Amino acid sequence: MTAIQMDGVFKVRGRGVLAVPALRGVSLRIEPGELVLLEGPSGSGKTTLLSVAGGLLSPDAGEVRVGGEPLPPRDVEARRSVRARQIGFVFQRSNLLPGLDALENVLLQGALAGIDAALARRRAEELLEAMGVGHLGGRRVGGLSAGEEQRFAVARALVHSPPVVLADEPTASLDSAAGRAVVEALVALGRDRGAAILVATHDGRLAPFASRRLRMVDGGVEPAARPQGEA
Amino acid sequence: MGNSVRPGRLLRRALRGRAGRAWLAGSGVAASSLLALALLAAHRGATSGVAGYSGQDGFDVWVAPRGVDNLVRSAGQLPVGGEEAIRTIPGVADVGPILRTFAAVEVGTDGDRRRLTLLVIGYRGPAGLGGPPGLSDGRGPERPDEIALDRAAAHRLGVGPGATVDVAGDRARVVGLTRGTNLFATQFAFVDHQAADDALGAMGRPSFLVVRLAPGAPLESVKKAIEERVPRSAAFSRDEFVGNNVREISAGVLPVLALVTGLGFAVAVALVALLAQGLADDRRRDVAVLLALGASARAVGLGVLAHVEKVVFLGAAAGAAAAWVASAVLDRFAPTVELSFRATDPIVAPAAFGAAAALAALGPILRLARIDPVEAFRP
Repeated sequence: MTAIQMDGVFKVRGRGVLAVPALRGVSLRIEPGELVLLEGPSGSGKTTLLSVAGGLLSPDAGEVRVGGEPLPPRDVEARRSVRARQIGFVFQRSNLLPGLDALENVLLQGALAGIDAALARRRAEELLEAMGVGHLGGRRVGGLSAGEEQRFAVARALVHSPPVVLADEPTASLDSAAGRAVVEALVALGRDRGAAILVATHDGRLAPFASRRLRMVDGGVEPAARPQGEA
Repeated sequence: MGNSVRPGRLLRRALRGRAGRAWLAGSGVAASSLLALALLAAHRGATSGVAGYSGQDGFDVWVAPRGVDNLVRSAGQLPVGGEEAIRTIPGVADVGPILRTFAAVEVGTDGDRRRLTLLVIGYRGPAGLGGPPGLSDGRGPERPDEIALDRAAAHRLGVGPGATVDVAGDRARVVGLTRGTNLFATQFAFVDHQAADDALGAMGRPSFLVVRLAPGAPLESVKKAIEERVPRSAAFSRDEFVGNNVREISAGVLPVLALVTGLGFAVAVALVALLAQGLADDRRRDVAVLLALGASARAVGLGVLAHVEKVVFLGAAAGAAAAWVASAVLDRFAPTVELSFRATDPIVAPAAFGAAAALAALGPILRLARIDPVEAFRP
């Protein structure tokens, strides 16, 4: 089953004289286990595409399916439900919630997805151990480095084993080593779980990990050059 | 899903605002709750004072000059001979004359003189009808040169049993302190009936007559007989007379108390609205993240409401507890104001403030629910 399917998606951002066509008939398919990079200059529509694919925005035209489930444009609750169960998000900033400790931030996604509490905790601990931050679960968010926070954000995106992970510039706030650790974790753990990963990025260091690279130009999507080192 | 983590608990914790702001708001609610409850208790104390006196057991019928229906704001005297006429009515067990006036009670020397104007009741002590409803110390007056003072008045004057005061220019020895006789704006004092009659020049004409009925006596027919036999008089049952007095007390102080109580309540509501508003502003990005992750706007709104209600409930409960403690301390060490609390106050106050908080938080919560989850993508 295709993890992300977008067919003829149009989306206009803004209103009146400020209205800008952000997506112009975008169609794409991403299969389970793929890591697809979405490249393009600022304002090219990368974040809008992620928002539509993640059900945060509804398309003005076209159809979006995630994990085989449609994202009905006019049904906010249905999109919310799909978002909670089928999608993991990794943002540019970790966006961990300061009212919770680091582990609780991960468990919250499990609770929102409605998965068993013990199962969520076991998965969270496995993910965090695999990323080398298992011992930091009880820390307040402010007590972690940016790299550590982002690894918790990756765990949050994967704890409910979603078929789709959407990441927006996940390494932009990190130094080289931390960024690499986060990407390696996202790729290894996401692919292990069969997730399709769509990453909007300017970071060329991610190219070696990608299955495909797409480039956004004027609201449309076109193939980019093959990842370095690939035949 | 019975074993799944409840997102509500984690959501509520995730949405907690700054601790300092919550403490500030909670303290403000506590202060408002304390103020509102103290004012209500003071009002109740005043009304219970006049009701406690005029509603005593044995005060079955009050007889007043026609046109007078209360003890607090009244003037006029009954004719001489009314007492004897009432004694002959079947069903009447006892009758007692009461002379009521406002008089200055003073103490001290010229350099340090304290003065209070008190509601002075002259009655036939110690066994006659019309005495104080309760004594906290000493006894009631038995001689013309004796006086029993409300304990709040005694506290303000700085006197106790054994002290000497001037009552309308005559010396009197304080022989007792009464309780349940504080009307907030003034207090009762009790003197011998004959002394009061002489001082006022009443010539045996009482302000009121209090009638005790024999068991089973028909109240309405006795009242009718009294009005027939005592010229230009009006007879009231105990409940009627108590009601009239409470009305008069309330008319005097209730608007002011209601205004201040309302202001206190308004301050609390404003604080709660600010708390919710602060949460909406501080947590805007976190709310966007929660919505993006799949939390429902309803759950987020309920999370914020739960936090606001928790702060308000704890604040109001703390205010109620503080009011209770303040009442006990005041009663013990500075009984100038009678604060009458009810056992339900610690429940009613948080409930009332909680309901107001829900209304005040509604606007900010609706704003929170409209936050665009796409904001979570903003760097």
